Amino acid sequence: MTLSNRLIRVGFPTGIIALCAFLWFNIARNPAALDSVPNAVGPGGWPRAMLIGLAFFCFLALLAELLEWRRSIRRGGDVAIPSKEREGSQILALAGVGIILIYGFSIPYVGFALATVVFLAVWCILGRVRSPITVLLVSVIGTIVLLYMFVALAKMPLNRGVEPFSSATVSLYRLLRIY
Amino acid sequence: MDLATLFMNGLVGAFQPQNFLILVTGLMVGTIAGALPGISFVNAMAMALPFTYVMEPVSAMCFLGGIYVGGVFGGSISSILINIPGTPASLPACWDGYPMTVRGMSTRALRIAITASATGGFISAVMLAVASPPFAAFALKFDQPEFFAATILGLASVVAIAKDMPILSAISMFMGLLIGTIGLDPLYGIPRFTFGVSEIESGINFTVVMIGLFAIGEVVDLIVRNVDLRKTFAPKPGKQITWGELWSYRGSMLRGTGLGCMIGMIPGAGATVGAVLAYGVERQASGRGAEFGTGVEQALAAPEAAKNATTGAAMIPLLTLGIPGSAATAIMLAAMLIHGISPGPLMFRMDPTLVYTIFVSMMVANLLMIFAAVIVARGFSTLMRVPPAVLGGFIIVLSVVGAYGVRNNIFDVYVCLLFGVLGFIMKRANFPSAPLVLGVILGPLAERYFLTSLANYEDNFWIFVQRPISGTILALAALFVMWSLYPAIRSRFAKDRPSRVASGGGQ
Repeated sequence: MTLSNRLIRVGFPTGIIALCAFLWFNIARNPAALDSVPNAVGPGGWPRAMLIGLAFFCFLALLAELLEWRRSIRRGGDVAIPSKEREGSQILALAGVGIILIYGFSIPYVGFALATVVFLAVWCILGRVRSPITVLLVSVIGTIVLLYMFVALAKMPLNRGVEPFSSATVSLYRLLRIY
Repeated sequence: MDLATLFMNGLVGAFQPQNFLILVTGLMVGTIAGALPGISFVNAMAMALPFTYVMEPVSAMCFLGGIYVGGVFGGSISSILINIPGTPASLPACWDGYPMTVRGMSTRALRIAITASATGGFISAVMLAVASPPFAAFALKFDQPEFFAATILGLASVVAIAKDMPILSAISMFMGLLIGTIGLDPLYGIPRFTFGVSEIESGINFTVVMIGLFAIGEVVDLIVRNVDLRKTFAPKPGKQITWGELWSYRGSMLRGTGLGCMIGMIPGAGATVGAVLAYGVERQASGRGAEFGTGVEQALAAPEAAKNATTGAAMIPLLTLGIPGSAATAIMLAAMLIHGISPGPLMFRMDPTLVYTIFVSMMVANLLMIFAAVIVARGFSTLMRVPPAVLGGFIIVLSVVGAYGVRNNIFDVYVCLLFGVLGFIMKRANFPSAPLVLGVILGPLAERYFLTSLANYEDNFWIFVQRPISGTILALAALFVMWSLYPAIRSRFAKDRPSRVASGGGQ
């Protein structure tokens, strides 16, 4: 295992324990309200118990990881060199996650229809679909089918975005006879 | 209403043209999703949620039930034909199903798998119909402490089943329980962990968490792995199987079914545990243990029967107590709650037609699964030509619409996406995500039952062990945890002992 992997495995439970400590003092904006109710547990009791449980098991995980690390050092360590292929997949994963986040966060601004067309096209390209006709058909026809399903049939008020995207979406809906 | 009338009502409900058509559609969707490696039936159910928003409650349950039944079997198609399990529960089908394909007996293997799955699933659905009403009648005696204990049993068994990584499962579960506390507290309405964000005062919706974790996380993983399935598909149909030969495997199918029914009822266990256990039991019981792994028919029939036998059994705690024991039943719970239905013992009195329609639908789904499986298996080569990226793109769009549709709120989409990223990280880090989801679902229930128990019984903390039923359930939960921790502790000591002996010897 590489040192960076080892640090991640140690850092994760340590980070959670630190987060638990922070949350312990920030359960409510007004901490006095938690203890002012006439109940043995109160509104803060259950979250506190969950924080203790989470911190306890993170401590156990940390302890197990540190013991394993010590054993590994005694054995002389087992450092594996990350392959280029793995690095490539990590970049692809980051790109994939980034595109999904951009898609979700852009919907309120550009509207569902436009965001979906662009997302499907970019996602296909990222997924190594090289034929432009396939990319175009999947993104455009796919979006139209989805619009018919959710706007026309399910009557869902999907986001139309801000101007000028809102007007463009309404025009598209009129063209498709779903508005 | 007597039992016959209720069953007749269920039959009428299930065979209404609209419900029947939706059930068949669900079966096809589930079988296809299950057959596609990387897309599990849980993903398919999460994706299907937005479609259920516009359906009648009965139709919604038929649709999800169809996906569940079809999806649990569907994974075996890819296991048998290309040696890639479509779902984790289909792994045993790789061990003995694929060797049969290699020997040119793919049709024979598929027919055994389909018959065994349909048998197991149908018997399990009958058991659901027979066992649920008396269990629900018994559950009517439950008060808040009993419901709290049942919820704790659900949480304990989630950790108990994850024998290989109990600490990570516990961390995942507590993370879910903590997420479940976000928002207004159930008794006094004091906002917790909201940090001034008004959108989360009503809490984090578990449907949104599930869609993010199961659908989006899986899709990113699918695109990163970039599996080209077209190259691996070249089976020959080979020797057929007769009804007489299928009948000769009845013992294996019944053993698998019995085990699957028992395992399915345990929250957290599910189809994977059932199938693997059935494989192990069959190895001992069949008398052909030494040949297992080379394409033994009994080794294929038993786990297949067990896998689908968990489907009906897993619905028992959901319908009678309102406690989901798996991700699939959690999605069904979400669909019920969206339609204003609260599963639990009272549902059997308030809406018996819905309950019996679900029973009959599960039985019909298991029989119709035979046709769905045959169609999907025949079209499998066509299915393999769809690039994973195209499938993944649509899954993400459907997930976003699903998250949005829960409350028509874009904030839920953001939450879903964040949990999607978390789901991907958890998958890559081999960190179990199912306990987190069950923590988010069961946490608020457990807190509410805990606080109302204390309020009703004068802040008596011992009430949970003083009452016989809740005490027994809690003892069972403790037993589960000890049973799960014992092998881990034993192996830890066994690992330490030789090193101590070696270091002692050196001194």
